[in-house]
Amino acid sequence: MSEAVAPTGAAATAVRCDALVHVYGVVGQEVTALRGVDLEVGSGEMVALLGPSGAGKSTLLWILAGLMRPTAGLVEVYGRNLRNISAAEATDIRLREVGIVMQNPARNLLSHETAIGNVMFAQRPTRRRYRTKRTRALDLLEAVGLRSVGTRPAGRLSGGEQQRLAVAVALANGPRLLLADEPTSQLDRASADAVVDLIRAANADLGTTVVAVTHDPEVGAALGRTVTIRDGRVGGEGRGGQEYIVVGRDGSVQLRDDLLEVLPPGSLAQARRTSEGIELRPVPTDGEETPGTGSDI
Amino acid sequence: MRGVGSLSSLGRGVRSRAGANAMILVMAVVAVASAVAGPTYYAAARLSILRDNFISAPVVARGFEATQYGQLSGTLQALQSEIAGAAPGLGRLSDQPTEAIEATVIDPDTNSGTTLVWRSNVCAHLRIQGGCPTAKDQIIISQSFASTTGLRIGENIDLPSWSPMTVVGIYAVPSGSDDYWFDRASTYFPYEDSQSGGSRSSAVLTEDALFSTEATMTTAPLASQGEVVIDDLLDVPNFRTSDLASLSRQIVGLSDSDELSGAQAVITSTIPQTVSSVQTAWSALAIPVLLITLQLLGLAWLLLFLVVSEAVRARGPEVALAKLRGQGRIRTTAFGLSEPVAVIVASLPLGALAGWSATWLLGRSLLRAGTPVGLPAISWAVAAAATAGGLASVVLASWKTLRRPVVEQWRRASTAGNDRTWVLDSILLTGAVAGLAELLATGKVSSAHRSALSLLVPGLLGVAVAVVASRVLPVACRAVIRGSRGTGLAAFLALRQVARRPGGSRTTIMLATSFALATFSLSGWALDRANFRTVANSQVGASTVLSVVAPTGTDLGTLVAKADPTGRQAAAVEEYSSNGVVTIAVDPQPWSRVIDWRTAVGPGSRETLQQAVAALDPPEPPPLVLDGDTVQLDLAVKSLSPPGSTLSLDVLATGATAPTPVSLGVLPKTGPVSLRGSLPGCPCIVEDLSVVPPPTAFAAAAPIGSIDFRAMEVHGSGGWRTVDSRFSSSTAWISPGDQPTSNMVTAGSAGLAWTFDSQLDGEAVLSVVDRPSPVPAFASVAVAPKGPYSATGLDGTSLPVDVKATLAAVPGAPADGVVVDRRFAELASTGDLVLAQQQVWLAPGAASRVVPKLEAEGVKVTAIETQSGYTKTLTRQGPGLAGVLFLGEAGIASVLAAGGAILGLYLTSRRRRYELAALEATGVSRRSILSAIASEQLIVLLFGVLVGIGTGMVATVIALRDVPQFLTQPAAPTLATFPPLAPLVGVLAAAALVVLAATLAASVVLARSVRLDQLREAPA
Repeated sequence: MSEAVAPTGAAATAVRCDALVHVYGVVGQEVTALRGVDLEVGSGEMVALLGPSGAGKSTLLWILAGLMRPTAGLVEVYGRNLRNISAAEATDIRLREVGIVMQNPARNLLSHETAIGNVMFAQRPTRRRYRTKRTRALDLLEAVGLRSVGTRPAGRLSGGEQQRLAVAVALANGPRLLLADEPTSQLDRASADAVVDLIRAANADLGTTVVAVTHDPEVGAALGRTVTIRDGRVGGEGRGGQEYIVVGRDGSVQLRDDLLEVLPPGSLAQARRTSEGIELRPVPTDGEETPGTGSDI
Repeated sequence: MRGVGSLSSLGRGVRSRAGANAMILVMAVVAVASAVAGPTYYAAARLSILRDNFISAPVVARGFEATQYGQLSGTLQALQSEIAGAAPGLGRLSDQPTEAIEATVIDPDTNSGTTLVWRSNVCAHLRIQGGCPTAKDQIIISQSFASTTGLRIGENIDLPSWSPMTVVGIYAVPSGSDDYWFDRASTYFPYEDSQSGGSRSSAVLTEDALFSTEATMTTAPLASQGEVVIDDLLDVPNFRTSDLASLSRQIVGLSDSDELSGAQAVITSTIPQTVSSVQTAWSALAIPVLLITLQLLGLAWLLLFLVVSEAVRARGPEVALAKLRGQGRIRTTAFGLSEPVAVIVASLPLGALAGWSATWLLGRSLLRAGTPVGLPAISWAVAAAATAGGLASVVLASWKTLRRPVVEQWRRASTAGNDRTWVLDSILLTGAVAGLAELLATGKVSSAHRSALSLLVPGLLGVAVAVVASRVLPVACRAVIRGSRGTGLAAFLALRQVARRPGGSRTTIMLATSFALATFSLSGWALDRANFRTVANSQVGASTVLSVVAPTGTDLGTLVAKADPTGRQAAAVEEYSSNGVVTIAVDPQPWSRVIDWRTAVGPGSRETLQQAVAALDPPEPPPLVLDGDTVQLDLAVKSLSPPGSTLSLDVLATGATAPTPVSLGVLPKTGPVSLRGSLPGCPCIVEDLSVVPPPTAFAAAAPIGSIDFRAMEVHGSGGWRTVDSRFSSSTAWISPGDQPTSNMVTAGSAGLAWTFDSQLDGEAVLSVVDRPSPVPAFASVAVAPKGPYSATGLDGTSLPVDVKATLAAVPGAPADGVVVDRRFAELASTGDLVLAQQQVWLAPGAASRVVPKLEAEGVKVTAIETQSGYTKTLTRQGPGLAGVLFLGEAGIASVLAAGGAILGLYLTSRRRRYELAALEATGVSRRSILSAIASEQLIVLLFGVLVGIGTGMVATVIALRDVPQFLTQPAAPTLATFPPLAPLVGVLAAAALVVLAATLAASVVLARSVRLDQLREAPA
């Protein structure tokens, strides 16, 4: 069984979600995307958000980016509660605290603008001098290996180059939190590795906290900590190559797919406290209790 | 550097969306150009109208003449001072005035007179042999005067009460109609002015003027008095529209001047009438131009709004990116608006230039040649307003995109139903219907009176129908989908998309409104064109009409026959206008060959005109011919006064153009007598017998009496023989006169009894009836019904005619013409024909051949009027100019609407390339995709175009007849109220085909741009 692990870095928390709920109001109906997410990400940590499509990963990311207000619960980024902030405050957070890399280059870059121009575009609201902005843009392009194509329009770069440029753009204003939504999903392995290396480098060199949504286990492994979201809740975490179940606020746990083969959805199970923790056994179909060593819960 | 970076970034953005931005630019440029064209065109048209009116006006209508009687010395300066005091600003508006001092000199011996004149700068307007007078008591005399008197250069002439004058030159008058002479040529040059034909009428008692120097006049004997004259012509070529009000004030100042009236100065001018004509024409142009400009500007703004909406929506991802990168509301707004705003701002100078260029081109073909087309301040103000409207359109169009949350932009789904397009539609519909109701229900637009407000009908109707139609189309498409299960995939996709598309309704509104306006304006222009031609054709009567003066003593018809022996190219015509009725005397055969038969508008009118022309020239009585050397008349005088009156026989010898009087001797007081006279060069035709009072009478007494004519004999080589004198027929002789009872002719076995009382005339005349009496005629239906009618003859006296036919429009004088045979009209005239206007009517293309021949015959052409020229004149009037402006602007708006619609559909479909690529990935053939795209666009475009054309036609039926076409609506001919259908349908069909072709081309381009690898991209 998995080992229970307490959240780390409480004193230097970059992201804190507490019972976070979000409901989409689409014409005539409501869809619950997040059902009480509890999550803490320490400053300087790198977290990969995993989970099936529709689980609520992107919704969580957009809330962290201040692009949406949660329906209920608490969400803080570096101690600033995002739930009730104004649009201007959210904009300011995106400018100063949060850098964002999206899956689609079209959502990251101005295709007609040069690589330098894109990095400078992100710095436009800052009070830096033009020369400073340009120098920073060139430095960032150097860092992502695109200095040589700095004057080329972004739309003419390859997919991998565009995503590296997107990372540079996201880092343009030195954010403390980098949010990435499927940053490698449209890239080949080599390009994806390059982008992940860049993110890791940003974390290592700049201390940038990273929260990335991904389906790619390799990306998850590269980022160190994984948080699996299922059905709008945090169902599990992985650290140091180990997968853990996260016990929900209501005591619920979400089993991994391989464990669901033992306990398929709808089956009865018996939970028993043991000296090491809790034991979960399927109840036979004839109703007989399986003898155990611990007390029933 | 910061600005440079932003600008270069802006430039790259504009370039990256070059197509859409170019379209926005074109839209904005056209919007500004439409706005600018109105006031620019109006300003230029006003100037053209102003110059047209003043230049074509007689001198007295574009200048004034001030005259004052008094001492020859000093009066001129006094008059100048009085004018300067009464109209101080007139000098700025007029040329250098011409001044003159005139004194009448009477020769007591001959009782004839002449005028001694100093006229400023006179020598520049005369052709002088010798020199110009430069010193006191030097004069120049006319060639005519020189030949009459035998005076030569260097000789002296004694004028009563004046010092002897030395002749220093002999002048001829190149053109007495020059403005310089200010209509005084007939006073100055009764003989010499070639334009008068050199006729020496017995009424002329004054010789040609003698021109001298100012010194001669101002040093005249103290008792000498005369008239001082100031002729002042407006400086029309430099006349500006803003000068008109000032001119009116100055003329009023002249006419109301106490000083001038106190000095008994006389001001002669009809400038106020010209000013009034100009102002009427301006008014006729002002309201249509305003309405047209506002309608088109509104439409251009709507088009701009729709195109910008599409373009800004296409920038949605970039705006979302700006928000994502932490750019605040202001920066995001600036970023989102920067491109369209830059394009719109660029449209200000470009639009102004385009509007000016279009107006310049329009002006070249429509306005008076040489009319400058400028960009007045009002044009710039309107251009700025149009640009501001464009910017407002951009802001409105961008509002939704700029406020759209980033996530909503990415998810492409609204969180709530927020389609509020019905609000705008409701506002448009309510406004349009209310406007139509106001116009139609309150009678502001009705067949009762023509009003420029009718021009609002197509726009309002177009908007109302378009809004309704735009809502009907999706519903209809849904119904078709439900009703036809077996529809092919392409048709299904097209119908489905139209049924759910939000942009389709806007496209329909845009197209339907603009095509409604274009159809209406095209109809109006076609109707204008047709009616202008109809009016010009009938008003001028033939392709070209020359006003001419034939040499004295010649017959115009004979000269025309020499110039055109075929009788098919030219016809002699004489006209006399009196009390609003024009008597047109024609030579029926050639006239019928050169007139414009299109004048005969309406069923059966051509045949009526043919019959009427044929009826003009019935068989005439045979001439009474005398062939011999002596004629004898047997008669009996019953009574006669005054005693000593003679009997004279007028005969027309062979080849002669004027009759020769043959004196038969003195008539006895009473009793029978045989009188004889020698015949000159006969055979000759008897024209009339006349009783002439004795020449010794100081004041000629009117002959009164009664004579019986018994027989007429002629002596020839075979001795005396009796001539068939027709004395036994009372209809063979006529005694013309105003009082039918005073002159009477009766016939009996004893011969012809003639009772006469010539009253004020100097002679009593008994004429051989050589013409039908009354003269056959046909007339405008408004002038006279069929039957006897008293027209006015060519001499201004009564001319009894028998109206054989009436026509809706008579060639040359559609509503007020009476047409008679020219020879009969001349024969019926007893007085002088000098007041009749001589004309030559020419067939199309005949002018170049006939005019030189006429001039070779000595015929002077004084004016030329053509049907095409008359048409142009009508086109240059206010309503005509407004019609062309409307057509031009509505045409451009339609082209833009179609272009904008295609672009809008293209942009919309381009955003759907992901879906189209997905369709292709699922196995839908490219052909089906192309077919679906093309069908979708065609449904939307053709629906909008057809609804627009239909609405325009309905508006044409409802309102076109009420749109003013003329400054003064002509009473005849009957004008069309609906435009010629064939060209209208042709043009509209061609427009629809162009739209079709452009749509197909855009569809092909779009279908080719669909690629499977677009599936890698997220839906835009």
